[in-house]
Amino acid sequence: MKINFLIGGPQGRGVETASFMFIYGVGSAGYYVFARREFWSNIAGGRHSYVVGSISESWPAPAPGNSVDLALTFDGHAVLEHVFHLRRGSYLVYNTEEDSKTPDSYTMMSKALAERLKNFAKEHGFEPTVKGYVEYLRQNGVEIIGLPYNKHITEIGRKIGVTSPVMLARFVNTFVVALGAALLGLSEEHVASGVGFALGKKAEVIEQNKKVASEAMKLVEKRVATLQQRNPQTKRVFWNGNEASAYGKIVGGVRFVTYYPITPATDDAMTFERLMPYPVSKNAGELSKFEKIGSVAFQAEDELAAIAIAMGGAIAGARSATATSGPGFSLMAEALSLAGMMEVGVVVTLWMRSGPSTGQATRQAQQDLLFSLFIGHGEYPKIVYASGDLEEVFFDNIKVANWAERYRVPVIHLVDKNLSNTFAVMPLPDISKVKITTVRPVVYPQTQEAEAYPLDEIVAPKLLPGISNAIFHLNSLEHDPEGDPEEDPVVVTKMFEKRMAKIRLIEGEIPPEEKVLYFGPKDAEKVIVGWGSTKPAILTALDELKDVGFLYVKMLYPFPSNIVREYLKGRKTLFIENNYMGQLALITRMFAGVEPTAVAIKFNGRPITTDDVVAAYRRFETGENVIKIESDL
Amino acid sequence: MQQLVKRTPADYRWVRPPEWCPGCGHFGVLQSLYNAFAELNLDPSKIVLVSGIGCSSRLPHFVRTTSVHAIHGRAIPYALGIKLANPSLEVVVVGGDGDLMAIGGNHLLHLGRRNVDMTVILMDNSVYGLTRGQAGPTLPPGLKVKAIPKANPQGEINPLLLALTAGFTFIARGYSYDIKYTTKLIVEAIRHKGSAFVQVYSPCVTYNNIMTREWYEKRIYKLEEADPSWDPVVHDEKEVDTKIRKALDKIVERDRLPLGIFYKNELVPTFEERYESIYDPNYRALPPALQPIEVDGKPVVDFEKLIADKIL
Repeated sequence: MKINFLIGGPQGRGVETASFMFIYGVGSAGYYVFARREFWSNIAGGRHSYVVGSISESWPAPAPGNSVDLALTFDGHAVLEHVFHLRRGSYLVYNTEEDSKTPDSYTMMSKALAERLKNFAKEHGFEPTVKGYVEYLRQNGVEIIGLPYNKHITEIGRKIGVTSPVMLARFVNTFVVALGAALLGLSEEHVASGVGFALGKKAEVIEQNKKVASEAMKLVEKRVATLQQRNPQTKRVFWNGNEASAYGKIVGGVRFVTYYPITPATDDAMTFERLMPYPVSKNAGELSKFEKIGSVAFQAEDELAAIAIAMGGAIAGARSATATSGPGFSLMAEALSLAGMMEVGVVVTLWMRSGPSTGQATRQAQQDLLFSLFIGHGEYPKIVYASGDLEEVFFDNIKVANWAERYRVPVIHLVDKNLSNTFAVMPLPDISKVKITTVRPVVYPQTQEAEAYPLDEIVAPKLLPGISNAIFHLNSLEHDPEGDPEEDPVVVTKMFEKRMAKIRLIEGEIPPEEKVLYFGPKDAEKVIVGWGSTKPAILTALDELKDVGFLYVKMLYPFPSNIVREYLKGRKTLFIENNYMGQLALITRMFAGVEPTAVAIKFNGRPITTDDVVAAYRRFETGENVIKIESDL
Repeated sequence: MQQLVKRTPADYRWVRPPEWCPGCGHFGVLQSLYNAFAELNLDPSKIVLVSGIGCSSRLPHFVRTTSVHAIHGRAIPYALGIKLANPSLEVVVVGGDGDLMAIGGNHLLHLGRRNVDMTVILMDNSVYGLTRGQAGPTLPPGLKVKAIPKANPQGEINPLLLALTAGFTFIARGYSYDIKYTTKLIVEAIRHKGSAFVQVYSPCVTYNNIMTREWYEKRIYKLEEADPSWDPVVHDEKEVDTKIRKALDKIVERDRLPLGIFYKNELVPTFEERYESIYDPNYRALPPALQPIEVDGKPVVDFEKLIADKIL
């Protein structure tokens, strides 16, 4: 069983709340949900925003495609935005009170979309009104559930004693969600638990909304499906990617997080901040005497400071990270070069978004792979590692923190807008799989000078100010083992080689299964190659595409050249990426010497969907080698 | 066990000698710092001296303490990170006017409003020495120091005015050739609870041929000598406005340049105190740098409890 759904309406008027209500309600019936949010870079203003997702009995839930089974719309604008995302058999719930409106009635609609819609109506010979598009959809097999929302809500309000227009307007969320829940055959209790989750603490508000839901559910008799109460037999969590990242940091021992506000990164740091102080586990050794422990979550004045403060935290001995996105990451370039030179282990959680420049701050892209690989002047060791789903986001946060401490290099953890705004009801990660590897600091019995950069070890013993009783110098200038400035060519050569030897060390120590994963038939002649958050869509598509392999690359630097070369040897390759240049294809050619057969690219700010992967693969089979994907859900 | 020792200024001298031009004002700041550390008898492994880039930012290389020589303009945020992760450390930033007032000016502002318990020493010579004499942000307009092709068309920043506005709770000015006096100011700055800012006039003998030793010595005077009743300390919350106005009057003097402590207010809570009361009652007892994070590789945080409100 798989149901794709969509909830859409004007931004800032409850679409997000309604989505939480809906997802939690479905989750409370025992199902898994895999959804993502699409929105403009505004708070209010009425641009169209929506949540699209899938409901499933098992996990991983299939990634959504380019159309949905059920669209719940708040207004006519939402109907028009999604005319092309409905197909035969889809259900559309909409407000008939907006029947007479046209694309031009909605001033917050993109002009380009309004034109496309009007042309479409003209070509198909119908009036460009909401009613016109709805009728077109009906004629093409879409089930239409049209109701006069405000009329019903006013009547329900009268029944439960609410007449204030402001209050009534707030019921729209619950009203729409309840219609959707009824169509899925959910019970009032499921909706009630969603209401309780989404609307918080006010008992009166919750009671009113439960009544609204109960009345609204009576208005529909049709069923898209009948979701029976299930027992998933496992603990499930409802969270998003930003949150999964923050929980990973906390569990993984990160105790120092800095940020400067930026979309879509800050919710990572702010979740880290919000959850403080953290409950101490029973088996916490000497910490067990504390009920809770804290950390430093720090809002910096800019990203220049955010990375520097995080590195300061690492120098003092805390596991440190900063969360940012492209524009902020650009400001961190000089500091990352310093982290390489001064040998400071710090994590940058890079939530990529669509650039260049301010670009589309709330939209998806994988454009910063090359930038991550080559950021910072001079040559220095670093790690660039990507996560592809929420479980990976959680566990990889722990891994990258381990590596930053072990190798004392900057670690760039690539995640993206798609992951940040993925909302999932999924199995709780198995915490027993967590392995934290710390490095104990040197502690001298008495204060003494110590070498911060001894030549006989690739990674020096860990010296911490105030803890090691060591006097030591860290230096951005080329230096000798003591950290004093040094430009003697012989010493410079040794220090350079010592730093760069970390790359070999990293390559040798990190096991292959953490670098790449391979899915599908071992001997497939054709292989899709991808990285990051395209993973769920590609994996879902593999079910449909027989005899194709999927090479999923997580370690982007040091690039696992030998492993990748081995997997791709003698096979036809299709690289699928959320960028224009085919950046993974470029570095595969550069590092592994493998010439990609074809590249499928999508750079319109929207993630790659399951349908995109299937369609791109079909085109690849016909011999296309640069496949531009333009779908828009 | 650390031995109880009484350290002397020489205990803070690094094995390699300073590499500044003979007669450079910075020698005076360096000696004052040695003296101050000795007077406070600080353990050199518990001091972290942080700098950015420039002639003055080389200072940590000549000091026998732990140090971080970072990148241009960012000494303050590096120092801040170190201090916040382990508040028991004595963290001191040194830098020039280019480093702290120009490329790093934003960080100075924001340190002030945070009132983190650390010290910033500005070694002010109004030129970029290490790149051979360009105009620094404290160079007054119309002056043509020898390496710049024409007179300075840009106005100057008054560092103390900026520091006062930013919220520093200790504001002082010294003169590098008066080592005894500068020592006293640095000692007071380090002892101060909160963000301390000390501007030290530290003439560049090579590139600033206008603001020379003679130039300064014609203008400087000491606040407490000119006015024996001078008291920059805020003893009561009610005095804050009066003391700020008094400090301001002195800070804006241009023809004569007062030295001394302009303002000192320990009634403002430090960032550390605020953080402890708002976020984490154990912050200073168990700061990030001192926390164990695992037992046999397993997390010390109870994940299921932490995430309880997200579990279905």
